[in-house]
Amino acid sequence: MTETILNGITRNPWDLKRSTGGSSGGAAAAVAAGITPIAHASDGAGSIRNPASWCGLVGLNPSRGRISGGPDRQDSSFGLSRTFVVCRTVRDMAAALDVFSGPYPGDPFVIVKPDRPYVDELSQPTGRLRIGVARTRWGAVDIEPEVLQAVESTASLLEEMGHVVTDITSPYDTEEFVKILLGLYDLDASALATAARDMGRIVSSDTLEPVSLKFYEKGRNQPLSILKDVLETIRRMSFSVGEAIDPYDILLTPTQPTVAVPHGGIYSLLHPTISAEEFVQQEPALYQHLGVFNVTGQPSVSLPLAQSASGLPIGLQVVGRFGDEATLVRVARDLEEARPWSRRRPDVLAGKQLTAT
Amino acid sequence: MRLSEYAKYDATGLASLVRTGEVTAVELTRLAHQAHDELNPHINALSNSTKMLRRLLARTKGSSMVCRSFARILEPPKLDASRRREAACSKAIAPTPTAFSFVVPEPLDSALSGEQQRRSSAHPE
Repeated sequence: MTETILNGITRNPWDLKRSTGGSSGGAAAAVAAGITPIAHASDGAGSIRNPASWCGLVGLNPSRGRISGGPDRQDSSFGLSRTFVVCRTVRDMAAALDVFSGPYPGDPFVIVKPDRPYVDELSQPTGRLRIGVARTRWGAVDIEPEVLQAVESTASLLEEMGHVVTDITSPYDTEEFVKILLGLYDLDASALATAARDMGRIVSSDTLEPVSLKFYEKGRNQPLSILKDVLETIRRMSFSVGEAIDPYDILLTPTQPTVAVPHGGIYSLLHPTISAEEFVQQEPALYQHLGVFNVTGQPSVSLPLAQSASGLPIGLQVVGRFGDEATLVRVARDLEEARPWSRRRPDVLAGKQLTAT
Repeated sequence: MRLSEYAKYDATGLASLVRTGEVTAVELTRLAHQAHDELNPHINALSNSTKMLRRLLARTKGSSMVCRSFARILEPPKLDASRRREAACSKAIAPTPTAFSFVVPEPLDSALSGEQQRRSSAHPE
């Protein structure tokens, strides 16, 4: 969620009482509201795709190594985190890939170059794909009926397009992912005091959200040996997931199990009473179809293909093979043409008279 | 261009309008600021001060556009040319400044120059 002590609460242009998601919620809110057509975003466990889904945008998390983090962030979170944009159209996504992709000296991840520019993929045939569809939950939160209906409808559409659609179950163990997240939080906490000192601040309830402070207190004294365990868990999870989904060219999943949630709930770092342990059990449940592909390094895009009865956006995620953003561009184009979303805009929109909010 | 019209376009569409001269990059930047000023109090999307950008924008003439950091400005997707540009240029600099030119405040001038050199060496052709 994009709710911090430093900058306050970022509000969703579709419903100001609801979250934009996060962590790239400011970028998503700005693009959804028409302040700018495209904005920088980054994704370490769903932070591009989650706000894209809740704000009705296109949000691609590219393959690990597709877009260099150089010169300053070339191995962000051991390769789990990637940088790209949120935008409103598939052609903007393709153009942004062409502009931003490429290596930088010293990059730790090497990736195959595309056969042709990504905007050229917009005019290429998609072919017949083997598609794995997730119609079940992969975490502790149930998929809301309207979200599940959107998955079913899109799976049917892809089948009508000639693709081979097969149901898949969760390819990973949630506890493994929680272990990775907890380890990364602990490592961040152990570095926080130094970072605060460098900025001339102190770690306290005045500078950290209640839940962030609990993570700091929990993780500050953890031994560095946890790093070895985190890296081994990442390796093990990458292998087992890669093996499970190898038969499929792409996957279709919900981006989020729910539509945008109200501010200040159990997913908010501002929550006054929730413990760090409880928070880290809740958060992966919300990102149950997202974080796993940060671990594997695969490209995945959230597309605003549906809308709830109350008018909130519903995003669906399409996941590609590692390094194969080209297929994602073609499939996303097909879906955008079949179920266009450009006319669906929020009430809080540039140039539109605002009603009482 | 009116704000309601600006909000209808995606980045590719706006870039096309700049290319054909129907709108300037400066005009688009001013529209973005106008949209920000109208909407940000409601949604709190942006928190960084834009004072420096505004100050620099006020100093520019014609169709120049100011970039205060490594923020990346998209060129329209002419991809044959794009590949060549990518080989030759920094990811932080729009390579064919027919519509944009960047006025980068010190000390970023030297940083961008250094990045351009490093970037070029990463794309041996």
